[in-house]
Amino acid sequence: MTRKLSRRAFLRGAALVGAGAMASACAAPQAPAAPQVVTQIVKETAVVKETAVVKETSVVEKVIEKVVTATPAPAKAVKKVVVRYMCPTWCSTADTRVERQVAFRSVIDSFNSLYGPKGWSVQEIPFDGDAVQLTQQIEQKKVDAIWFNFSEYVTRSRAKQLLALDPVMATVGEDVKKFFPFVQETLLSSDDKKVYALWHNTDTPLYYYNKEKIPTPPAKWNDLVQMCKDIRTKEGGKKYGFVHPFNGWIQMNSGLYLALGGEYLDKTGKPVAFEGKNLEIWKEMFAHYLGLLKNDLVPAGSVNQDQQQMMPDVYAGNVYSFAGNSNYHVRQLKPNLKDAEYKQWTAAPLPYPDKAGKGIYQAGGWMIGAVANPDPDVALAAATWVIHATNETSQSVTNKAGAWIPTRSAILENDQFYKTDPFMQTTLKALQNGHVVPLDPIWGPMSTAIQTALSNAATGKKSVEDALKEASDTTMKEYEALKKK
Amino acid sequence: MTAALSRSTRRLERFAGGPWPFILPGVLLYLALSIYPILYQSYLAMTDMQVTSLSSAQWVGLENFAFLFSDSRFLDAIQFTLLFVLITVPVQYTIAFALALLVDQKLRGRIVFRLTYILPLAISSLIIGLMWRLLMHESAAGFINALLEQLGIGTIPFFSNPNWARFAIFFVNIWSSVGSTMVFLLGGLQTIDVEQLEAATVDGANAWQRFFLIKLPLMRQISGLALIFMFVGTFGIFEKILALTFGGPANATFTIGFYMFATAFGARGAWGTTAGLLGRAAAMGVVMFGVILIFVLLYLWLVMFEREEA
Repeated sequence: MTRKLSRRAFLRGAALVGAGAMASACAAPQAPAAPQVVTQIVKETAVVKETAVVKETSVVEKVIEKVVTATPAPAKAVKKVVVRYMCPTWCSTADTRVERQVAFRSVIDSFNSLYGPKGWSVQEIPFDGDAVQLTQQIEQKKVDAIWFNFSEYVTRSRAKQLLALDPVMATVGEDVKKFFPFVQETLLSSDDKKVYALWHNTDTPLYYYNKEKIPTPPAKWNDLVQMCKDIRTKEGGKKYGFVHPFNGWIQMNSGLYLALGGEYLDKTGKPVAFEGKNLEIWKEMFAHYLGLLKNDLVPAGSVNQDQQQMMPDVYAGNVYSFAGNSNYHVRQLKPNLKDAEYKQWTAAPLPYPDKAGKGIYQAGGWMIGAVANPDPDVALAAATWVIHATNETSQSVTNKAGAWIPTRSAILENDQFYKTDPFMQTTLKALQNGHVVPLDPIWGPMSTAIQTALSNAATGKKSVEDALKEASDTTMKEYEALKKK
Repeated sequence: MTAALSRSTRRLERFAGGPWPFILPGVLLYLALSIYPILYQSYLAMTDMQVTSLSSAQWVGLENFAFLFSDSRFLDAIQFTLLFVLITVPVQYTIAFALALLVDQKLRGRIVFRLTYILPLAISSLIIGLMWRLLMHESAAGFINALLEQLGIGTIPFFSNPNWARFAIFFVNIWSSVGSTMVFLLGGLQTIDVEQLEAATVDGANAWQRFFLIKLPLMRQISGLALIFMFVGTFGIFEKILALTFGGPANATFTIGFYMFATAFGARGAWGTTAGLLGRAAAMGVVMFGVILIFVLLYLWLVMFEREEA
């Protein structure tokens, strides 16, 4: 007679398994596997400064009345300063990608060896990028230097979280003029025009296209529409010439709005994006994108897709071009396409409206800043770290690893990689007309409102006029609330 | 003094000998992990705290609440959340009850059925959302649409059409939560005295009569509790929306929980961030707490009212 498993026995067994699972979960985590050691020759630029020692001899007459044997001065004690540097995991030595581990390690090691005799060193603190955690650490004085999004530059400097770098920059011969013009403008946009951080890397949206299907990339919107029509007519079915993310649309088009003569804020900082000619510009831009949808020239699903969610259609070979971040060739295409397929892809600046004289493209990116600290030694060390981590050599190495664009003009002139890599060249070409979004707090609600208006119009929930009216009302409401602060 | 000392010693002995030493750790833990966060959130809701400046928050009183109740997006979010609850809770309850009745029977392999229905409980809500996002993808990459195309039915715009997006959220929420409700109700069914059912059978009651006249009435309290848990869980839905629709298209799937997240943390990335309005997000949380509390108190009052009548 077979013995059945009783309910009590089953529950006992399940409890034991559960307890065992909890015990193993509570066990000390295994040390992460040591990263693979990769010997990589990092290009170094040696800078030799000649120092001249001039000896002068002069005769001095002295009357010696008393001989005193001088006591040797005690050796000056080196004060050890550890710069606690907080950065997201994806831009640290803790990232899973070996090239980033090596790049960021080399920057930290070079600082430690250069400034070790002074007693300075850097301790990296990777975190998940949560802004609340970052602010807490700053306010509790648990960090000395931080990596943060450029959009927080004015807010954090206004909240007195960051240290002004100007004095230290002057001492070491660093100058904000060595950065791209739009970078200089942003760094000097703080309330007192001082530099509170240095911009480490930037990126911009690009137009990626399969050169076998699209031999000549469209430069303007009408060219784009014609190309899409041709492909739909020729191939039809699931094949499309282009896909654009509607979630995150404002990031690709904020510059094109400016190219058409639009204005976001007036001189007092009041939103004017929904008034007069500015409103007409939005209507024109919306009409272009709604036309792409209505005429089935882009996949209908893109209405509620961001840059990543639209990529499966690209990998499936259903879409021959898309608008994406300037490092998408490394982040998305290369890991997900076979080598032969990947080689078919290249990039160009995003097509711009025919009425605009040129395209203007949004520049994003990340900065490194020193946290305001009453201890002058720590402040000096942290500021020096910021300058070191964003100097020409460091930027060359780390930006290559991240497929970002450095923010210093000299790198483009001196670095062979940036001079020859086609994706980098295209990105740099686009950034020649780079713009930075207003760093005013109203930008967030305003851009979200414009985004929602497009979504409302694209899904047919509201007409374009009503959708933009709602965006205007929402923005002004938020503006009034911000003014009260 | 000796008398006072012996009185306090006796009090201490009564305290140590009573239930308090056993209850106190749990009570303190509950206060720390439940009551304190609620009180702190209520305080936050009256400030203008932001993500980039936590310590310099100013007291603004009821300003955040005034803003919310004049904000059409918030009112739309409340409306959708209530619609979401009113649709998914009864459907989820009905399906869960039917499944519980099914697996309560002495069927061969009923353990396998039970395990299958509660499998979604083992998967986190975010993963469930991501999984269904891929399955429902509006192209050849989506399994469901690929299958529908093969059958000649045509594709469904799950995420680009507001109504279909809402359907997707309803479906995924019911699919992932029905298992836990089923387990709850199954436990209740198994407490029903078998002799009552046998007696009813002997008296000539058919299956429907046994269900409606015996099982359902005896399951009233358990069902009430299940409904409360479902209401609370559904009202605060967030992760599945984050993974599936991100509140779109056109804010069609904005619930209060998701709007709270969007207000507090927004869409952060290399190209800009929203303001990170923690105070306003906390105010939304207080409103959500208030609605849930009203519902739960209403239920408890009804239960007490029934008991008094009995």
